[in-house]
Order: sequence, then structure tokens, then C-alpha cells
Amino acid sequence: MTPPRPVLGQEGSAVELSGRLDLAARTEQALYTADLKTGSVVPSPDELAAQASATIYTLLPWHAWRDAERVIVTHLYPAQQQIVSVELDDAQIEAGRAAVRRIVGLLAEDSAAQVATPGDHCAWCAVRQGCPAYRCDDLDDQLF
Amino acid sequence: MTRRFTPTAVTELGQRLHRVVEHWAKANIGHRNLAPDDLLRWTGIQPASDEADLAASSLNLIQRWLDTTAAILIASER
Repeated sequence: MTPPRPVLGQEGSAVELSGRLDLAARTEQALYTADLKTGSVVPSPDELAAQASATIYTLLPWHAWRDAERVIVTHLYPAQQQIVSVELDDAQIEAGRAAVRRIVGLLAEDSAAQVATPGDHCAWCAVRQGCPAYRCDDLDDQLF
Repeated sequence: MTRRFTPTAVTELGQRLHRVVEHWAKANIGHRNLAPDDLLRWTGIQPASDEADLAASSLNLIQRWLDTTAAILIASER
């Protein structure tokens, strides 16, 4: 969504988040955001909810459409004809905020390489092709 | 100083599919009909190709999502 909007405070400084929604739709009660995904592995709803992006795509629509009572975040996987949707609860949103703060903190320290934490999530992560952690040969051997 | 963190790897196929969705969605929001062949031509996808099939699958999935949620599109690429 543009322009960037400050939605996370961090010890006196604001963290500006920006992004671009593929699709937004709404009913009277809820706002729905959808991201079109071309990845090969479809995450479970729990895995989607654990992604920091799910929190970002919950917070940004609340700022853009302030009358939305609920925000449902959806990933669409056309190759698999799968739809994965989550509505984050307060604890999940707070965990997402913490994840974003951690990433921002690492970037502020010029420690971008540390942002990538390899793990099983590399198997379905949509950005793995550009990720230094995924490119690690050892990790490839472990995961595939 | 503004720092930007942009980790998403964007593929050409992904870009073309997103253009298809954007054109289709904005036509939907504006209550306009688009001919499928026009949609493919504008977005650089060959008709009767694997990419055309994936584009059609994408639009079918979006329509299913809208039908399931009973929601109305209000924005695309915003």
C-alpha cells in the first residue's frame, strides 16, 4: 500500500511499513486482502499466520480503511488452486510486531544477513530464491 | 536515512500474472468486461500456452475466493 504509513512505534521512533496489495475486497463486516502466490508449496493457515507479512497485511489495511472491523489475510495459489486465509488474533499480531521489530533492529545494525533465519520454513518460503540462507548448499542438502 | 528491505524475488512470470490480475480486477471494479484474448495480449502472454492456462486458473481462483467470501473487490495493486 502506498504511501508508507507509520504503524509500529519502536522506542520513540516510528517504523514505516509499505507494501502493495494485489487485491482488496470487502463486505460490511470485514476487509479481505489477497496475495497471488506462484510458489510451489502451500503453507498451512498456522504457517501463514506466523509470517510477519500476515501481520503487516493486517495492520496496513486497518490504516487505509479505518472502518474495517476485521481483516482477513489470504494467499491465493493458482497452480495448486488453493486458498489459505487467516484472521490474526491479538497475540498473533503482537508476535508479528515483534518479528518486524527484530528485522528492523537487525537492519538498523547493518546486519541484514542475520535477518534470514534458515529452517523448515525455507521449504515453502516465497522469497527463498533471493535469500542467502536458502542458497546455502548445506541447507539445500538438509531440506531437499 | 531511509533503509529499504525488499527481499521478494520477482519473476517475469509472476509479473505477467500480476498484470493480468490487476487488469482484470480494475475492470471488475469498474464494471467493465474484458475479452480474455485482449487481457492476454495486453500483458504479453501467448494465448493457448501454459502461462495462459495459469492466468485463467488465477482468475478462476480469485472468482472462487470472491464467491466464497461474498466480498466485493475494492482495490488492486494499491
